[in-house]
Amino acid sequence: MNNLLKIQGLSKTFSRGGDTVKALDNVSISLEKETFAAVSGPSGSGKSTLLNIVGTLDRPDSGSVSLEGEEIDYFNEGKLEDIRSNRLGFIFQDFNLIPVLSAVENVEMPLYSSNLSTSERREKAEQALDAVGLADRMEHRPNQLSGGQQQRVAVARALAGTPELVLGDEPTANLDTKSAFLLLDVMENLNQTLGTAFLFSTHDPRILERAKTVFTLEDGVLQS
Amino acid sequence: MKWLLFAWRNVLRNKRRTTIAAGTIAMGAIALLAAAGYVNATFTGLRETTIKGGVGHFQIGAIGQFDGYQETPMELALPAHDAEAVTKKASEIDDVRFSMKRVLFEGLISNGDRTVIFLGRGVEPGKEKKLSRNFAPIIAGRSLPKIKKDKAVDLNKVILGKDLARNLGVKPGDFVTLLTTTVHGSLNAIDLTVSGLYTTGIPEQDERFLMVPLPIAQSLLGTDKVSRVVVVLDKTEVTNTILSNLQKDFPKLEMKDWLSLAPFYQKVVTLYQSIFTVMGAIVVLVVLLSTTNTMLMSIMERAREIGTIRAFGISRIRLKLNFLIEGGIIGLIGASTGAVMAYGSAQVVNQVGILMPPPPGMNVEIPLLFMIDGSYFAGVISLLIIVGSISAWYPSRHAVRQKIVDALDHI
Ligand SMILES: Nc1ncnc2c1ncn2[C@@H]1O[C@H](COP(=O)(O)OP(=O)(O)OP(=O)(O)O)[C@@H](O)[C@H]1O
Ligand SMILES: [Mg+2]
Repeated sequence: MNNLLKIQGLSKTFSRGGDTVKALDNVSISLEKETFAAVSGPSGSGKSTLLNIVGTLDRPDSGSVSLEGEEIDYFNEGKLEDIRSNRLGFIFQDFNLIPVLSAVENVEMPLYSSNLSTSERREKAEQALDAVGLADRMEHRPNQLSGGQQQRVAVARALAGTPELVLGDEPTANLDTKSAFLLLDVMENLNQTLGTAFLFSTHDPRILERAKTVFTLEDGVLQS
Repeated sequence: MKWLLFAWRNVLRNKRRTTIAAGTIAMGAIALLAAAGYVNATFTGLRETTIKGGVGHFQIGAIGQFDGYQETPMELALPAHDAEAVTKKASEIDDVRFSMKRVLFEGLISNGDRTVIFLGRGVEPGKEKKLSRNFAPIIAGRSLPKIKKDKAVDLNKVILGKDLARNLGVKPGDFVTLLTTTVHGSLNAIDLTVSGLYTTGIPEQDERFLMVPLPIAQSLLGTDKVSRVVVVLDKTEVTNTILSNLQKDFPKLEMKDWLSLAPFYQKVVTLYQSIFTVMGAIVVLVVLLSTTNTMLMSIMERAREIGTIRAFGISRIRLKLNFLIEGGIIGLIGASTGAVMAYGSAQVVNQVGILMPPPPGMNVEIPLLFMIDGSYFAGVISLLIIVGSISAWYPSRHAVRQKIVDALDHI
């Protein structure tokens, strides 16, 4: 079986005051292993909501998400922590690096809950930083790095735990064009060399071109 | 290690805020240590006053002497050979300064016209004065003569509580007659010269008390027994050790330390301790509220980081624990600083020797002293580390319970 992710009939409604918004409406998606996929759609179409639920950061109202055939139990916090630390990686729009940690320490952070030794952990983090082309920036703090560099540290961090799937919610939105393409090169390269699957959202049509598969959402409904 | 380092970096992150929180904790530490040091000094002072005031470090008597009922006088007293044996044994112990004998008796005192009840004490005046410079403070006439082995001294003297003398209308130089029942049940009387008048400061005692040299009391009672042997040591700390060693050698005698002979001391200690406990609780509460506020700010503004860290699978418990460590570190920094400052100030105040007005019932100024034991430093620092941790407890609880998406959305 080559199936990595199976989303079935996923729905999520938000209510704010008296209004209710159907952010996701019966969305079903399948992803192959080692894929390089993108979610597109206008603002408010439900891209973030979808990625958050797949990333176990939020819970669906109905429907199911399975990773490699195993359905995610959204009410088992211990299991969710295990999935987050071993099987998923995240890249955020605002990089979200921890300011008090150096680049290499940021990359190590997800490995804190593993039982790797200090040196093994450090080696893994250094390899990951090397892979995103930041071997010479290991000890820099986030505020000493450019936005593009920070986001590459974030990619290295997402990959440190060797996840099967890396999720990115508009990872290039806060980057200039050059940095955005560089980041995409890095992600693509990691996808090809390590076989890590990527699922990211974007507004940018030039970025969408690079994805192998594109899903489009509109008002929470998957377009085909 | 990595988590400790992470906590430490976060503590250093907002130096001004950490300084204020640690400063609050330092103030708390100073307040607690100063209060504890003052109370300790007061206890120690009171303890020594009690011991030197006549109680001695411990007293030895026949079984029942301290709380038994005597059908006839000196029924629960120590036979002379027992008193000698225990005195000899005690004198061989290091740290024993000396021991002395006392006879407690009662009877009637008369000036020929009037007769009143008295409570008497037969004492060894020289040794009593060695224990207390304040022994029977004389307000008129002279104290009792010292008993001397090699020289014949006229021991037929009595000193009277000042109100007892007033009731009888006698003054130093007058004669009085003491009348009592002997150990054999017959009546016996003795004529004595009033040597002097003294005051204990307690009116009830001044109205009833008198003292005579030990041999006079014994001959009046027709016995060579003594009521109690009072043991005086070089230092108070060894009281229990010496008492229990001596008790092993003399299982048939009853021995009581100064603490059980001075219920007043225990009452004062209990009172001070409850005052100190209430005050300490208030200090701790104020520190806790203030540091909780600081931790709340510090944790709230890191909501997004908390969301990020949790997104990478770090458990809530781990995160929460780290906030507690942060609080603990701030507690440690603050408390250690406060401890150093408290130690320094205590040294200065103790050296300078500030005098405090005399406490009730005393007429000398007493020096302001802080006696801060090592254990107090350890205790206060540990307490404030815990307070620091607890101050992170509520804010972190809220922060890690948030949904990750909400935490990440936080601006
Ligand atoms: N926490 C929330 N409370 C209420 N409504 C929400 C919440 N989160 C999202 N929504 C609503 O759900 C819908 C989908 O939002 P979502 O953030 O998934 O869209 P998006 O495609 O990521 O948009 P953008 O491109 O602007 O990031 C929107 O209408 C949004 O207002
Ligand atoms: Mg979005």
